[in-house]
Amino acid sequence: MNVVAALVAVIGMVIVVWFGVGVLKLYTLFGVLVPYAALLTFLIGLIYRMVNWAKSPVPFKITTTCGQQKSLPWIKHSRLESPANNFEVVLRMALEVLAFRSLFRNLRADLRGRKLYYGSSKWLWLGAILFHWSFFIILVRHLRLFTYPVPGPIKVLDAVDSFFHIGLPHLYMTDVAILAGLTFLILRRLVDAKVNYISHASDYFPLFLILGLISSGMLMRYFLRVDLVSVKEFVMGLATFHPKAPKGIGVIFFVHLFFISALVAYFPFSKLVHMVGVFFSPTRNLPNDNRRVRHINPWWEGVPPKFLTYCEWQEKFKEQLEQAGQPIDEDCYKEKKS
Amino acid sequence: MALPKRDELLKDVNYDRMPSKHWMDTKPEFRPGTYCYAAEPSVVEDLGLPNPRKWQPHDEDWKLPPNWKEIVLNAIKDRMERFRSFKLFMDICVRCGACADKCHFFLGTGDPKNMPVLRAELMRSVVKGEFTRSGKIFGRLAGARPLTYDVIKEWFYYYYQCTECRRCSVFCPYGIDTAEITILAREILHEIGVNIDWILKPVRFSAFVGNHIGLQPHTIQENIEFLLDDIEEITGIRPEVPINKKGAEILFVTPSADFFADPGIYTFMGYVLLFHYLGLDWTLSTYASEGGNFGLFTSHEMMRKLHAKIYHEAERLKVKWILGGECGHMWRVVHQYEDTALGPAPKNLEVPKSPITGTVFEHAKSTKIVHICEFTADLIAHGKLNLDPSRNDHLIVTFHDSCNTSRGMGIFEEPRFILRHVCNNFYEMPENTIREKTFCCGSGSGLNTDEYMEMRMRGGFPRANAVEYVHEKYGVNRMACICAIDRAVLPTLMKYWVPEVSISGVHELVGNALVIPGEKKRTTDLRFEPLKGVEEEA
Amino acid sequence: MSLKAQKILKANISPIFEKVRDKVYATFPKETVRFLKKEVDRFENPLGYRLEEGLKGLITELAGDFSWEKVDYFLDRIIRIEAVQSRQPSEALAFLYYLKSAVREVVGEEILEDLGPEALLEVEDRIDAMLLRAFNHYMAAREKLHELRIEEWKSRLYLLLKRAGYLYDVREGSLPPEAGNTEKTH
Repeated sequence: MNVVAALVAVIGMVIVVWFGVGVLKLYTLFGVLVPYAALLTFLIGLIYRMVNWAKSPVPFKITTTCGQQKSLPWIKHSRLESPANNFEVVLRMALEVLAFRSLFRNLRADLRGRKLYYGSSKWLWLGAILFHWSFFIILVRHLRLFTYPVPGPIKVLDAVDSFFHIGLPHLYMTDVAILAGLTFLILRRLVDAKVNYISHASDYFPLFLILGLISSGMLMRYFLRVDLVSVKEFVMGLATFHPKAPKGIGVIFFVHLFFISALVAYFPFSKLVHMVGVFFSPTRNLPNDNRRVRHINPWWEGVPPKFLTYCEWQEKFKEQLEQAGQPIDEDCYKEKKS
Repeated sequence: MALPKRDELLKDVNYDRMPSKHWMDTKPEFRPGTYCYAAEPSVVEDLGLPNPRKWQPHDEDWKLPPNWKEIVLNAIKDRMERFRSFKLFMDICVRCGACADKCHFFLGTGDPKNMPVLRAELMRSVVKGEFTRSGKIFGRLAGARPLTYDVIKEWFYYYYQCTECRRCSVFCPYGIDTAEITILAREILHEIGVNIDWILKPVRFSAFVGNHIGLQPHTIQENIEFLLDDIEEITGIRPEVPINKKGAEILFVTPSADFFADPGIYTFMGYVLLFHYLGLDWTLSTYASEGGNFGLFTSHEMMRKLHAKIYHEAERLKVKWILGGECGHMWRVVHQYEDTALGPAPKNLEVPKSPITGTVFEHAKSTKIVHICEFTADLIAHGKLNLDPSRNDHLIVTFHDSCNTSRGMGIFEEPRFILRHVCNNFYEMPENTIREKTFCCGSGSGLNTDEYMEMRMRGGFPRANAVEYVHEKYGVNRMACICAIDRAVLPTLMKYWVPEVSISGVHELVGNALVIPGEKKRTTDLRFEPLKGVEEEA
Repeated sequence: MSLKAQKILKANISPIFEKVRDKVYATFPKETVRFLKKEVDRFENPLGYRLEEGLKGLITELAGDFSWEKVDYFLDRIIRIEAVQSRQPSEALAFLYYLKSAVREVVGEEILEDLGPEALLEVEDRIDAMLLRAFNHYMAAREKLHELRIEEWKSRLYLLLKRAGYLYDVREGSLPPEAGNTEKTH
């Protein structure tokens, strides 16, 4: 049910574009207005999201400590797993964001049958790494369409990505990698009963959307060749805010453009914000220096705690204290008065 | 000849597999052994908490206030505004499932709603369904649902089936911490009077008397005298235990179970022997007589209220710094909440400095509270203790990392360093069951009650399973730990799963090994169990 | 103590095991089963590991030189898990019922044809005997649980009870009444 709904939504989008561009010839709507609107939604949405998170304070320093704390000088503390200062926090975050450290933790050896096995969850790490890094490289690679002249590093990236010179145009490694990663992530959701159980339509939707995005891109590059010169001309127009309604580019390009627009617009309002959210995560982005540096909670600062003071307690148990010969503190009354 | 198919005959018994329903359509079943009793009205009333009444979770009608829905929704909104963690964790989960099989309750029960991701989703779905437009429009497709009476029951069932151990948070790529969600969910449930007795009774005693079971000042002292008798019998030495002594250098705070519960008392004997050996200028307080803090399992406010006593007492007694005993959630509070909630520390406190070694505990320079294991490890590292580890030779020891001190503090090496010096036989459990990946005892966060026994045995099974492995492989017969709840519940867990293994605090073993000038030749350990080699002599 | 059908059983340990395992897992939520089956690490998946270890052990004993000592060991390990699940006793011990079904489904016909009904009845009787024995383990586990409830309270209040003289103290030299009696009769 969830899968079907997500799939229908994505297929519906193809139909809309095909009808709008192919039949009604709404080039400006789909080529200019939709992308701009999407970008605007993305920017506003994301800023709203971040401001919204930032508005709520971080009342406590609740670092998840995954390694030895910094305590006695002769005990080596774990800089990456239990960062003692902000620099080490940056390292921890970098490892988390760039290498998915926590997902990698699932490495484990099996003792059944005396053979070394690796746990299934390491596949999740691999799939996630393939997917996210390929996506990132593909995005960067696309900058060649937005720039003139194309900067050197992007050319190099492009060359490296198509290093193997398979087919014509050369097959990008990242295209293969992202397809593999994505297929794994989708299959995992479908096949693993445990993950299937927890998945919503909103979990399948972005996967299918990105699958559509990639397939349309690959179709365009490898099969339904579109006119790259007019694409670049059009994209440059968009990028320099002199948009010209594109003509003579196949519908497939508009499908691709619509998918990316949809993705971008959907981004701030969905779980996809995890990309930005991870930087806000208080269990990861705070140092484990709680006893060394005081963390301020804005809604408790200046609000004294209410509790049974010693003096009140002593009044209550005076008899027992006296009987047991425990000292009675007369000073506490004075301090109370003063 | 066709043989009859037997399993068809079973159909009318009761073995239908759980129907394959959407998780939002399944309801928890309140079977005995799987839930904790509701708090007595008088307790709720004494604490000034909302909606005191007689009710039980297995009742159909929970007698919630008529506007319970409004209260809950407001409470959620309030928490979103005050806790970035909560707001963020509601937004960024991608349901990758990395945490799914990391929960000891999932591993021990097989209940899919015990997957941490789903535990959080129980709350997340309501946040989406009640506060977002997309959730209202797309409903279940977006993983959203409205807040209903059954949701409250489900929350109660599953948020009291989480021990706030944070193991899932270690594996989450975004650091989503189910403990944080559970803490807040319980806080929210308290606002409509949904609570458990086992947590609120200790809270009440802590608030009005000073410790979990309401030991009054003279009782604490008598207990200690009794323990000193035992120490004298074993060692020939009678240490002094200063009580409420003004002007002492160090205030020692430990969970109150160490004063009266087995095996906590042996750990206490270890502390006392150590302090005596060092000639430490210390004091105990019968007012701040509880290190543990069940307030943490109630609400942030309650945690603060119960913990405030410690600084207050340190100020009154004019001590220089505070030493904390072996306790799990006490240390979660001391390490991650205390300074924020109750700091800055009173002015009379100084940066802790060991009077024996001169080590300045820089890492505690703001809170001025040092963990006893840090203190003792430092002593051993400086060669200040005369230890005879062979006095622990009758024990083959492993170490259980308590959740709170592991994932909410990061104290891994200190206790191990101590253990390696006080006993000759020390073996680690398998790598993926210790340190930051340690398995919970299954009874943490105030769930260590007897009516919850079945669930506790299930939740603790992954831990027991790893203990059994080292028991069979190395003959381990003692598991050391640095947590009072562990000391209270692991013996029970062990007696069920691995009866050959007993439990103790780290400092009990220190007490056994410590060679004190002027003591008599010891023939037993602190439990009056004969030392190795002694039996044959006798 | 081996059975007539030993050879056939021995040749079919794996298929019988797989069959009975699937039947037992079918009583768990299906979202969990894949995990129980797939996760191979005995520490990450203690439930699956123990169930499978126990079932395999029982079948191996059935097909081999049957020894109650070993059977009891495996029964105990499975039943200790079953006894704390929120299940009826009948559900908790159903795995032995399933064992019988699995044997019948996998090798029943073969045993009948090759060795006659007697041999099949013999196997089934053996499993029945295991089921009877299983009751002992189940009761022991449940009684243990209740005993633990009480013991835990005693430990919790240990010193208070001890000071009040409520606890029996070995060191005081007194013997409990039963112990005294047995010494006399010996």
